[in-house]
Formats: sequence, C-alpha cells, structure tokens
Amino acid sequence: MKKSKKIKFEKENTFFDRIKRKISDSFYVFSQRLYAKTHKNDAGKTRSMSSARRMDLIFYGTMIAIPILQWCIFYFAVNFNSFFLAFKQYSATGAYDWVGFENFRRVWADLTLKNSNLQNAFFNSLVAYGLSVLTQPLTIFLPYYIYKKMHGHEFFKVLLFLPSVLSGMVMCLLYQYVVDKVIPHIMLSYFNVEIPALLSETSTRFWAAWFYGFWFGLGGGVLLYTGTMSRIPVSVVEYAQLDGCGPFREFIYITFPLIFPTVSTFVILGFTDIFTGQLNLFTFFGTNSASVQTVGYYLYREVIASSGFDRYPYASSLGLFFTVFVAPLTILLRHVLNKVLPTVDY
Amino acid sequence: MKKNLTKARWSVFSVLLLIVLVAYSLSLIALLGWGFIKSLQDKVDYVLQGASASSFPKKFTFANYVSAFGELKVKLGMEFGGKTVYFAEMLFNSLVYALGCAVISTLTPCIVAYLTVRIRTGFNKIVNGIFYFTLLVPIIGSMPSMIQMMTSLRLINTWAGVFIMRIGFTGTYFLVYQASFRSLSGEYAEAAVIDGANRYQIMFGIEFQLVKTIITIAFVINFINYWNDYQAPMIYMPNHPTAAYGLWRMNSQVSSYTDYIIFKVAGFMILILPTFVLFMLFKDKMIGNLTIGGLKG
Repeated sequence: MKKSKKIKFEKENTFFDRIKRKISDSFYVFSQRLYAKTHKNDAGKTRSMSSARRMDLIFYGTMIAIPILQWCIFYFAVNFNSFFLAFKQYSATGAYDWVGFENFRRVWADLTLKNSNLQNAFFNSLVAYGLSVLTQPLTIFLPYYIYKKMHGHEFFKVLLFLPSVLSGMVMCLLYQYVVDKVIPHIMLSYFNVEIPALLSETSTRFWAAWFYGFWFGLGGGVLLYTGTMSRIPVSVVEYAQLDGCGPFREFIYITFPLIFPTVSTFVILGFTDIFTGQLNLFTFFGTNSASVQTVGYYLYREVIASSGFDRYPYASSLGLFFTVFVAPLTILLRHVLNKVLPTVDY
Repeated sequence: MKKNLTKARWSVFSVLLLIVLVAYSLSLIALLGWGFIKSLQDKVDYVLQGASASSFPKKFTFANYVSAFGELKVKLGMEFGGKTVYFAEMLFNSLVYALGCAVISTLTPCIVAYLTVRIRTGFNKIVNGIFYFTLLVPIIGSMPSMIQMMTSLRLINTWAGVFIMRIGFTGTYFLVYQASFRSLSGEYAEAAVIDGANRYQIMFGIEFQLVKTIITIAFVINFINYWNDYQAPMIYMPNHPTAAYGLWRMNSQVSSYTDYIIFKVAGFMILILPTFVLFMLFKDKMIGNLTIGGLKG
C-alpha cells in the first residue's frame, strides 16, 4: 500500500503534473476572486457586527444616554451659557443686552483698585493657597504615622477622619462659638488676659478662618495616603530598615517617592480649588463678611446677595476671568508633574 | 514579619508627629465636647448664668433635645406661601434629599464605569475625555448660569431638579469603580451568558454584586455628604429646607427662642447623630484601603 502511494507521488512530480497542478491552482484562485467579487454583500455580512455585539451596543446606548445628556445640559450648556452671560448685562426691561467686554473691564477695574474688596479677596486666596502648600507636608506626615502603625494609630485614624463625616456647618458654628465666646471668656476669667473674638474681629478673621480649615482638614487625605502607602512592597521597606533607615529617612527616600503620584494628584486638585475656596466664610457669616473675603466667597456672595439676575453677568465674567487664569496653569502643572517626575509602578 | 517591618521605632520625628496628633485630638474632642455639654444645659441655669455661650452648665437635662424637635423652625418666604417648617419636617426633608441624591450619585458613575470597562467602543474615549476634562479644567463661577438653567427648565424648587443635578458621573468615584471592574474576572459574566442571562442581569445581578462593598462605602459617604449639605438646598430648593440648611439659617437669625444657644446646639447634635452612627457602623469599611493613582489622561 505504501509502495503504491509513493509511486503515485513520484508520478505527480513529472513536468506535466506540475503544469496541471499550476493550472488547477490558477483556476482555484480565480474562482475564489470571482466568488469574493460576486458575493460582496455576504462578505460584508461577515464583517458586520454580530447580534451579540449589536445587543451590547444597544445596552451601552440606553444606559449611558442619560448621564451623557445630563452632562451636556448641566455642564456643557451651563458653562456655554455662563460664557455668553459674561458678555451681557441685565437691563431694566428684564432682558439681557450684549455689552461686549464691559463686565471684564469692571472686573479688571475692581481687581486693580487699591484695597478694593476684590483685590483683597484675590490676595487672600493666594495667601490661603500658599499656606496650604506650605502645610502640605504635615498632611502627608500624619498618614505616615498611621501607616507605620505607631502608638495609638487606630484611634488617631478615626479622629482624623471624623471631621469629614460630621456636618461641616455644625463644626464651623461650634468653632465660631468656641473661638468667639468661650476662649476669650476663659482667657479673661482664668488668666486675666483680654483677647478679641478671633472670628468676629476683622483683623484676625482671615487667620482664624484659615486655621479652622487647616487644622480640622488635616485628615482630609488620610484615607488615600494610608491606602497608597500600604501598597508599598514590604521588601522595599525591609531593605531600607536593614540599611539602618530611621522613620524620617525612610519617609524621605522610600515612602515619599513611591506615593508621589497620589501627592501630585492632591497638588493638582488643590490648585484647581485656588479661586473657589471660601475658607468657610459663608458658613460663618453668610453674606456679612465684606471686609474679609476670598475670590470664591466674593463670587458666591455676588450670586447669593443678588436680589434678582442683575449681578449674574458680572459674576459670570468674574468666574470666566479666573478660569482663564487658572485652567492653563492647572494643565501646565499636571503636564510638568507627569513629565518631569518619574512614574512609579509597584 | 510584615507587621514588624511596617512598624516604626520611636524617633524625634515620630514623637513630634505624636504631639501634633494629640493636640489635634484634644482640640476636636474639646469642640464636640463643648457642644454636647452645652446642649445639656438646663434652660433656667442658662438664663441665670447670663445666657452666655461660655458658661459651664451646673444643671444638666435632655429636655433641650425634645424642645429642639418641637420648637426649632424656619419660616419660608411669602413666594412659598409663608409656611412654617418645623425641625421634624426638616429632618424628613434631609432624609429624602440625602437618600435620593446618594442613590443617584452612587449608581451613575458605577454604571458608566462598568460600561466603559466591559463594552469596548470608540465612545469610551469620549467618556473618559469628558471625565478628565471635567475633573481637571476648573470652571469657576458657573453657578449663576446653573440657577438660570434650573429656572428655565422649571426645575428650581423641585425634588426632581436636585435629583437630576446628581446624575453626574464625573466624580472621583468613577476612577475607583473603573479600577474595581478592571480587576474583576470576566468569567462570571461569561458563565451567566451561557446560562441565558441578559446584559442587565449580568450588570446588576452579578458584576455589581462583586463590587458591592465599594458601592456600599460610596453610598454611605455620599449619604453623609448630602445629609450635611446645606448650600445646594438653600440655592435650589429653599421651599423644602433640610435640617442642615434650617439650622444654618436659624443660627443667622435672631429670634426670641432660637437665640438660645442651648437649643441650637441641641439641634446640631441631633443633626450629627445619624452621620456619627453611620460612621461608627461602617468605619472599618470606610477607613479601609482606598487607593488612587496619578491622573493620567
């Protein structure tokens, strides 16, 4: 049997057999091409989506339509409208008239007028942001204490997180009572030292309001930082400790570089908040803190204190002015932090 | 072994941190402790000591809590009929507002994150682009325009309006959900498909069940945030004052009754009680390992 097959194979390798095979191959290729050309629609069908894929896309479309529509209206359209509102003015007839850059001229005039409310608010916002950058290390050190499971870490972890859970309004108003009434009373009664009501007194208001945000906001990043730190490989920590690293050196050379992506996220998000932060002034005083303001509070006050829609165009132009100021800087900051500093994977 | 390695030995650095933490803890406890003690001060004792915030109670009573429920109130503007809303109704409004908003703002980013991870389409790039754009480009001062939009859509002063406002997916939980769904195996969904489950059953019945811990934590945190929120109800729904808004407004008003600090502070304590209880119930899950990477577009 084997022998006969071998003979047949040898027979096919003759010159004529090769010609014959080539001709049949050419016919096969031709027939294939002809089929492909004459059955274009069928070929299309094989490339088109399967019914499962179609069902997936229908499901996708029905589920995502409402969130996208909501974003289009409540983010895109709102900001689009806000942009044009900045170039309009509320007229006596109740309509909005186009006034070009008039609102921006007013914003610029207010901002450059010496000791104006807006100028003071602008500098207060910058000072508050600068202070938050300077105190940023402390907001990383405290989660580090908890990550290293030092004495009382569970207790401190709960207390650091607690202000994020309790009503900020309640905390603010309790702080206001204590700072304005209880502490001056205690100082006078027990130490015979007269101190002003730190929040009510305008000369100390900014610092008292900033201190509240800083001190009771110390735990703001505790969850994310401790979570990120806990992912650091134990082997890396082990090497550092074998090399004689103390807690501080370990933080500087091991922990901080490895959690840097999270730090940079906080820095970027903090920067976006520079002209929206209010230092809780609205909670403390409502619209009654004209003498001490931040840009965020100034803007909020413009809208809330407005009896109708008359101040809205000015508020929109103010918002747009500071957006133009902050948005490119935020993108630049993110770009620099992502490019210049190394990406860490572990 | 692992525990020993992550534990640090004492040093000047760690002692300094301990001092800061002790100071922080004492100040927080003192603040809340003062509020609680003041809320227990007897009304007569409070008046006899000069109706002062700084006086230390000599006589304690829980009666202020009962009085706060019955007497703390907000009078609405004439455009809303001049109705008087009592503290019990404000608490009910808070519950409806916090529950509704928390459910919507927890599920929306979860659904969108699920879709972008599980179903590959070109539109996912647009969705992710929207997310990063919204997160990173700070648009300041759009509130006037938002009020105008809500007014023109006739959504201002309505429950539907505040709930629709929360159908946003661009919060930071979107990233957490995406990371969770990426880490899940697709085998459960494939098995469900073989068993004849449809897409909705797979999403709600299987995949969401697998990340229910994260959904629960997000819901609790969102609920707490909305329960404490007083500014959005003040702007978009002043005719249905929540407890947080009502207390803030009462604090800024001077009236013969609510000027008693003891009643306001009792109201404060009632307001923080549900969030405190929720926190104590879920604290282990809430203070678990939550991680976030750098913002990569």
